Amino acid sequence: MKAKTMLIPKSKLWISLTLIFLPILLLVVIEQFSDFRETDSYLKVVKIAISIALIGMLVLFLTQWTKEDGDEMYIHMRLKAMIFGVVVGTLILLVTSLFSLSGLFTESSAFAYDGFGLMFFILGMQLWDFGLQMYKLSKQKEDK
Amino acid sequence: MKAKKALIPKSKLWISLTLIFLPILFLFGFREMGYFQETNDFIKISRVAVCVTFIGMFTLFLTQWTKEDGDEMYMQLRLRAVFMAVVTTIGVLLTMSLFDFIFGGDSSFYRGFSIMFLILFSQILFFGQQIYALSKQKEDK
Repeated sequence: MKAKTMLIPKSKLWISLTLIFLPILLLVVIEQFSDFRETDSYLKVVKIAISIALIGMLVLFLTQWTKEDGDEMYIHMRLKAMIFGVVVGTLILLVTSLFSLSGLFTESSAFAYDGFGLMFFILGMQLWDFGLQMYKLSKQKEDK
Repeated sequence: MKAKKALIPKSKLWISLTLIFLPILFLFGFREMGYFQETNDFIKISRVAVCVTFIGMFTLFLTQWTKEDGDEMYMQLRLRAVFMAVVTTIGVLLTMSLFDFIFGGDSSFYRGFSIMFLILFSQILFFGQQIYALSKQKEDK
């Protein structure tokens, strides 16, 4: 099936995990061993590192978890998870804006106003929702 | 079919269009009338208005455009559109970061609202493009 060939086999899970954790690890190491943090370039490098980590999260979302993954049902689950991510992202922006309007919290504490924070939140929600659906499915199979 | 029920009928397209354009229109009106004395208040209100517009863009994405809309094929088209939108946004974020690093700029694109707008807009764009290609194919037949 076409969708199955698009997915990344579970045996190549290391690719996504490396893409997620390696940039963060490198940043931590750089921060520990040099005065790089003080420079203007640091924030720019952080942005690149986060972008790579975001790609890793997307690759993780496209991992083929079971043999049947790639079938219609799993495509539906992915669609639902992606829509869930976008809806929750929009809602968090709305809630943050309303809270900010009512003066309940300060502007600086609103992570959703930052593009990287919002993107991380959307991808995190996608992964969480897809994982939850997969977990429910495996539970159902176990019960049978 | 379950997916068809989740979609919004084309006859109710006015809901999404109202949600998209009314807040922007109100903002223009408020600005012209000088309703908000402080810029900070206007920024806060415009954020809420933009969020309502986002909800409108999302309902536009979930509008049932043809009678067959809601079938497996259309669901796949939607999945592809959302996926492409997310990929495009991450790609843009990475490209902008690299550009800023190499050329030393400081882009204002990193704002959450710009990112959300890009996701929703490219979702609608990619989905519309696919629907258009499909209708062209049907016409040719």
